[in-house]
Amino acid sequence: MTQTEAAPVTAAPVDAETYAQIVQFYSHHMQLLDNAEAEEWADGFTEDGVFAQNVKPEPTRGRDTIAASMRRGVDRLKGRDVVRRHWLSMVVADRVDADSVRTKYYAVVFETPAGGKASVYLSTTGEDTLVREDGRWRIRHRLINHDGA
Amino acid sequence: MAPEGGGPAAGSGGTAPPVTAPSPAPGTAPAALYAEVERFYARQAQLLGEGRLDQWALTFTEDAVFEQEAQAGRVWTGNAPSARRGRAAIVAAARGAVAARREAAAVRRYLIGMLTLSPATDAATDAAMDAAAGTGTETGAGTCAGALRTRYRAVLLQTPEGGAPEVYLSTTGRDVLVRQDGDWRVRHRINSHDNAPAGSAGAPTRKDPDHG
Repeated sequence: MTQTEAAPVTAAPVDAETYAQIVQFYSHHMQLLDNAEAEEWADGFTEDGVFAQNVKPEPTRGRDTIAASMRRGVDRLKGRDVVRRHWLSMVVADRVDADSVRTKYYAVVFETPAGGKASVYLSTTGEDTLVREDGRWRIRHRLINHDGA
Repeated sequence: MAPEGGGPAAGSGGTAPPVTAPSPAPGTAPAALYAEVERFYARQAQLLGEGRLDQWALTFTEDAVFEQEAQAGRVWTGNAPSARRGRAAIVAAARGAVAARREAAAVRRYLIGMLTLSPATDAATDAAMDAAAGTGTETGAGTCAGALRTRYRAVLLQTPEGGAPEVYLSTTGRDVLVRQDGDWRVRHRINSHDNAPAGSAGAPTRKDPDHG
């Protein structure tokens, strides 16, 4: 593609290999969450990671706190006999520097009660700062914005 | 999986940060392989949604096994067994479902997402591969060159004629894919419905009338 005077659509899109790594990281990350593996899911955050949502007054800070909070959440769901599936897609990924990437994406949540019918439970957008750590991607900062909130 | 060399740096400005991909974490596929498998599922899902079952059949190996973990009590006259062995049985079950859907004048779209893949090298897979002797996919000693184990979510959207679409079903898929004649094919699929009772995993004994 030729560069023109016009502003680029994205500042610094990541290369194809990095993009594929990030998409796979997210797929695995969402599988862990929906399989109720809260601690393994939380390992996808840096130790000082932050998880913010527009529906919560304060962000959750630190991997251990994020894990404990999600553990309570998935246990609550189990008690209600409900299965949720987080689908993350439409990922835009721009490089910030050699070791960090900023992403934006949509996340849709499907919910199915035991013996019941599936439905769309929630539609959100997400913004992450991902960093390379120990040869893998981790989330340093996540902001989830619930649609309609 | 082998790390990729990484793409060339975008542009030639000396100030641009390096954009070469770092080494992937274990279990992370190179971009080309991941894209290939994504496209395989896109094609397979479209063939089923369009009811093109002769071609859909060829996305399974001749000796493929298709297991379903679905809600008990949804038994339907003429329903296929929950474990379908062999391409012919798999396609026969799908034909029933496609015919019923046509009769109901409903359209179904299968969406696949949250796909992960890893090399299939463990003992369980080797056992499945042993059954594949003679198909040209074996490298010997119970291993299967390039076989993949995949996991994904699948959602079915259904639209009745003239009506509004609805989320019909949410499921989880676990496949073993092998390469045959240059194409990926499913050798083993376990499809688990989200509305199945908890603990049904690993016990594919139930029947589902509606899945095609």
